[in-house]
Amino acid sequence: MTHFNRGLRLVFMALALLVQLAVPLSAVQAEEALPVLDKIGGEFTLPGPKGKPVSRADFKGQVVMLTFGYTYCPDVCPTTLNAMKMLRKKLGADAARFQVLFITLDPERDTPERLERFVAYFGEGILSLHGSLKEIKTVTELYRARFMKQPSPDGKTYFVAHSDFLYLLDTKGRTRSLFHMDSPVDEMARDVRRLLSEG
Amino acid sequence: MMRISFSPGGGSEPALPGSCRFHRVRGVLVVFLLTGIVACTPKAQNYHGQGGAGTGPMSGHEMGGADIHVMNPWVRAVPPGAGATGGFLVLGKHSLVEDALVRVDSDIAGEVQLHHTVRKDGMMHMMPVPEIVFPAHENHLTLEPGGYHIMMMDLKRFPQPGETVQLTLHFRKAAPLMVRAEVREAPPAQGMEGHSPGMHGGTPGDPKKGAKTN
Repeated sequence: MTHFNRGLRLVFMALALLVQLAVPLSAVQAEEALPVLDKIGGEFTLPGPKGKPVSRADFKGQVVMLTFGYTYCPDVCPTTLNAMKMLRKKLGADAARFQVLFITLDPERDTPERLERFVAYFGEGILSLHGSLKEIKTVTELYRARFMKQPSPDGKTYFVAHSDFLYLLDTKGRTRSLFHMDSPVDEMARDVRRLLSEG
Repeated sequence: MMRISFSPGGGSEPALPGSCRFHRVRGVLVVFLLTGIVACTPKAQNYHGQGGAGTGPMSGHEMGGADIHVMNPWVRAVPPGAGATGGFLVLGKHSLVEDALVRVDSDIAGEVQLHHTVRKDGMMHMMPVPEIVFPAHENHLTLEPGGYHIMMMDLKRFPQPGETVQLTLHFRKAAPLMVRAEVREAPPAQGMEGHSPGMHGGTPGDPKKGAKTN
């Protein structure tokens, strides 16, 4: 009986060793490269703060989170930008190589100054881009983002219905990961770090 | 952000700060029960039906309606010049009486509407709703980002963290409730729980799944 117990203990020890070996193995598997989403995204140039042109190519060597929205947006956009603020905080020193781009879908009401004030409220590292409706549509088509004006029932104002995707671009500007406004910030931080580690 | 935890047809009940469960309680039962009682007491502000600020609690039963209380009321902090902000809270009731939130007044907004953010045709749409129904069989009704919310427009001031905003909730049956909502940048539970991993709503260009109205 004692002999049997000793044998059982050995089996357990062997199992424990296997589990310990398996943990780093699964960690390596989790580090597999993110796929390149080559059908989503592309090069663009839009006027940024003070009207200075901003291109995707300007951010070579940095990881970019690109998103669309508007300043009159009461729910989705503040939630998204707040997530960006939390993400930057979570990234710590890595935030130095991380940039958020917020492109307006409401150029009619979002003046460059208004946009700058809006994004500045959510902390550093968020750049606001604007342009004509035509210029913006070119970019939304590249990123397969959708938006449409939606008049309020009383006709006094309008909202902009829009997709709430966040596009994570690698250091070469390629789209590598997609998030929603309610995606966990931890997952975003993990993917940003994975892309930064690619160089 | 948590997903909409209320659906008119039923669905899962939201986990409230005040709710708790016991699983196979054994051993130091007395101590456990005592701590359990403490844990079950909502830490957040809890408002029961009342006629106005300063008055004592007034049960909705006295008004012939549902007994409604409010938990975790908060209003999103917005930059100066913002066009709108949202108010969020959890309504609770013990009775099996259907009621509805029909109107909200606020000291910071000239215009207050009830809205529902819904993902439709690949976009997030903001749909104004005449009322938010609190079904008879539900104990909780959650207003949260990405779901039902109180939409405040024509802002008289731009709420900042640390401030409070007065909200007066009007119901179809229950007595009006006046609450002071905390101004916050993010929901009280953000980053702690309520997140479901992975993507929601498909990929860009998928009109059937993907997008919100605002």
